[in-house]
Amino acid sequence: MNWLDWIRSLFRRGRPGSAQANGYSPEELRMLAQALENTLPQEYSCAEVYQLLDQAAELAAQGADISTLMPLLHHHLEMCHDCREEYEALLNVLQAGMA
Amino acid sequence: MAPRTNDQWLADLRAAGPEQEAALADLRAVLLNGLPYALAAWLPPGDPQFEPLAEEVVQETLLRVLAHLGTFEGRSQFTTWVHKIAVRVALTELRRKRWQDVSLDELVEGEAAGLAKPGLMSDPAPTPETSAEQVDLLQRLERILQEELTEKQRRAMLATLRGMPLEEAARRMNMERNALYKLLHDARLRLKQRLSEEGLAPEDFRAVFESR
Repeated sequence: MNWLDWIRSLFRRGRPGSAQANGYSPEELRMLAQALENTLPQEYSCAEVYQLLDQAAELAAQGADISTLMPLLHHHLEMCHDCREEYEALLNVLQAGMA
Repeated sequence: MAPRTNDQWLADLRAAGPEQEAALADLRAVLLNGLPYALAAWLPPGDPQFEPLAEEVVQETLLRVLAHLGTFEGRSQFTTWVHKIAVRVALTELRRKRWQDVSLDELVEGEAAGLAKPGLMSDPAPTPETSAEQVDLLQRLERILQEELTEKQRRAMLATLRGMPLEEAARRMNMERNALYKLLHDARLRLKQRLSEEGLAPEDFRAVFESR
């Protein structure tokens, strides 16, 4: 077995019925490595971010840099797709002047 | 509609009778004006599903606003706080509909999503030195993932890496979204710690995968 086949065999372990069902694809492992690189010992939870989301969106809509003003919230938005979607939706409303 | 301060919104919504009815009608208009912008990336206003969804979202949001008036802390405009609630209600519903036919078991235990992607394995063969290094790193990562993650963490990690919203993964695992984020954060911390103990950094792996 050459090295390419061997690597492929690693990724095939995740199939149903496999004894070792890790099953990550190379792209998934890359994304995981990126997430690990960005992981902080202390991170805001989704609930903590939700509490501050309206305040953060207003600051951003006024042109403030929330990565500086609210770094932990900004970091959570980088890590959590759900919260980021909600932040962006709210920001769209404010930027349209609809609040 | 006459503009209200935060205190006026609160006072009118807490009042009985015509003041509250007028405030609710005004808030309903505020929400209906904002929803097309909030949902711009999800559902265009011309879509036949938009109006029924908007109506459902407005009703649910107004109920939640009345039930949770006491939790408004005045850190933003009152209407921004109300839009935040509407966004949560709307996206929760849209995520649920979008993912309703996807089973967590099938998503997590199915074929690894990237296997069929072109380019990952079809690049020109690297040098023997590079390939040996890559194989070693992959083997170590594989072992660390198996040893460090609980089954719950492994399933949650794969589900979110494969695009399932945290909220939908949490629903399928009978958890709150907040608790699932904490579970994944614990998993990431554990993996990072283990990599460090083995003299590895996440950047080492990212570099390997990005070089493919």
